[in-house]
Amino acid sequence: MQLFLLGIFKKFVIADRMAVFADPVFADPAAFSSNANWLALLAYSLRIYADFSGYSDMALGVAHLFGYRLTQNFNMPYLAVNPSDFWRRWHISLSTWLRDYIFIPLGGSRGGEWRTCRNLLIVMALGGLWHGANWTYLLWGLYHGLLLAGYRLFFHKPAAPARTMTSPLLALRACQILVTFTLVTLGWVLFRPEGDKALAMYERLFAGLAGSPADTPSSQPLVDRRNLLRRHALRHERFMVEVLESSARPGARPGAGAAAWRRGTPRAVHRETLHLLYILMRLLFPRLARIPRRLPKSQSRLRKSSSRRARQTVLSCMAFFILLNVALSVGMDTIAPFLRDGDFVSRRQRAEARAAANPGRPLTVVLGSSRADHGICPLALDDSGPLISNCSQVGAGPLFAVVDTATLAARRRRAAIDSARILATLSPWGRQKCRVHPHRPASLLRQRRAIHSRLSPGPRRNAATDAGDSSHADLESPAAIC
Amino acid sequence: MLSHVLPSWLDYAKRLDHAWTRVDDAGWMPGLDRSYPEHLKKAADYYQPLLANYRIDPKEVRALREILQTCHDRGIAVTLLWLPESSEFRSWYPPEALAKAMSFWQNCRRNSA
Repeated sequence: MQLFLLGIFKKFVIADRMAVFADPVFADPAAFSSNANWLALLAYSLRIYADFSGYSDMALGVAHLFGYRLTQNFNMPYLAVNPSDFWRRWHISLSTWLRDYIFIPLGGSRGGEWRTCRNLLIVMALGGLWHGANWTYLLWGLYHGLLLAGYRLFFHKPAAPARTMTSPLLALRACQILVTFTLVTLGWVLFRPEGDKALAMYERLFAGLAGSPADTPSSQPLVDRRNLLRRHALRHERFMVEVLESSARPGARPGAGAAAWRRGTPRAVHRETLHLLYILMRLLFPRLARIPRRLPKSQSRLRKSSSRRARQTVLSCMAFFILLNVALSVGMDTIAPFLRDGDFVSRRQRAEARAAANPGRPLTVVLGSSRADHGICPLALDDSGPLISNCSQVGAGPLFAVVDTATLAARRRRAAIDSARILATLSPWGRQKCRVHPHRPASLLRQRRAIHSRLSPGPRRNAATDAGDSSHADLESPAAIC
Repeated sequence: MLSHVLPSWLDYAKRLDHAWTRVDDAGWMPGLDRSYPEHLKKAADYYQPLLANYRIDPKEVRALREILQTCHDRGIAVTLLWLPESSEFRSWYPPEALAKAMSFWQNCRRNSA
């Protein structure tokens, strides 16, 4: 269960958050500065790892609940010291399969250096194509094939006996990790289907390093705030955008990102600190989330006890799930109805509060979809006539209205509403564009006159006449009523 | 539940809390009182195919009858209102869809009179 939750955390907290920063830049790399491209690439690198290993952890966790022990698929790949080490840690199931079924049948490393390099290139090209039938994935595979071949030709040495890690060795190892991570991260540019954008991104990335005039400050910020914030109006993302922009803006003074960090709201600080602590924890204590490999002494006893535990776990989870569902269903209908239908309940409560505050006025409730929701402004209509309250909901049709009508009818006495009237809008097509709004006095007056003439005190009717062809006369025309 | 407790944890598109935080005391949701060309295009992309295959679902008709019956039994007056639409929106109706809608409207009127 711990592994499963860890996978969910990686996917939804890290991968999805990183996508917010990476996607806008990858969509149009030429519009952003070099620093922004580097930061987006870093975010994409973290995203890919968190995404893939998150799914793998979820699968491992679920399998473990059922008593199956699957192969670990990722083993801190960004701490690899060379490309060969990276492929022993990244997507282990795929790389093992490629090794056993393609590399070794091709001859493996038995036919000399050049034949080995050829085999590596073929294997990695096929591995790239495995990820997607696109030229960019093929190039990505070849890039890794070249990295592996280059490492084998120029840097590979026979395994040396293990030595105590002294400070210089640690520093060397840190440099190796950094170089490998940079090379792998640069390869991720190709790991997207759009080839032309990959070229544009490489151009922007290296234009900044070369100090080329092409890296002029972009008129567009790191993240397109207008579009991004419209789609993701989350405070913490807005905060991260500020931090990234402060760091990435060409010519920004050192520490600008930290200053933005200090200016962040406490909530955002907490959340981002949590993210960083998690990443640090995984970097420093990789064994915490690994599956224990030590087996008990007796294999048969292990099998029996693990299958019994698996059965108990599955049955307990099922019982808990059923009980939770029953409790939630009953609770949401009796104790907390706003959890099931917060929109309607909040509108109904507002209507009841207004009715209680105006005891002499009959209450009219508007039911309908977004057409009525955006189209009928009760405060603009409501001066001396009946008390109108809009209980429409976006996307609601007659089936919703049946439930809402029954609820309103049942609550009429409990809410001490003297008299009630329901104004149902026919909404077979959903949204409309009529405007009953205080800024449109002419249409407002006509709407008010038409609706008030129907709703004014008088003998009650269940349904009456209609306004005939005027329903489609014009935008400025009164609504059709029956 | 997250929309009630921690709406900021959800993506903007998945948040439901706007439905009860943005409406006024009388239940009106402001915001679509201005027209944007891009919204009009999106609406056209969405509604034109629907209107081209327009049909009245018997379940919806039954639901409407049930509403009228419930209100009748409980002595609640009902007014059915067909809200006006913009000229652009009305231009998306094929003639047969409009005829079906008008016929449905007339039936409602006859049956409830």
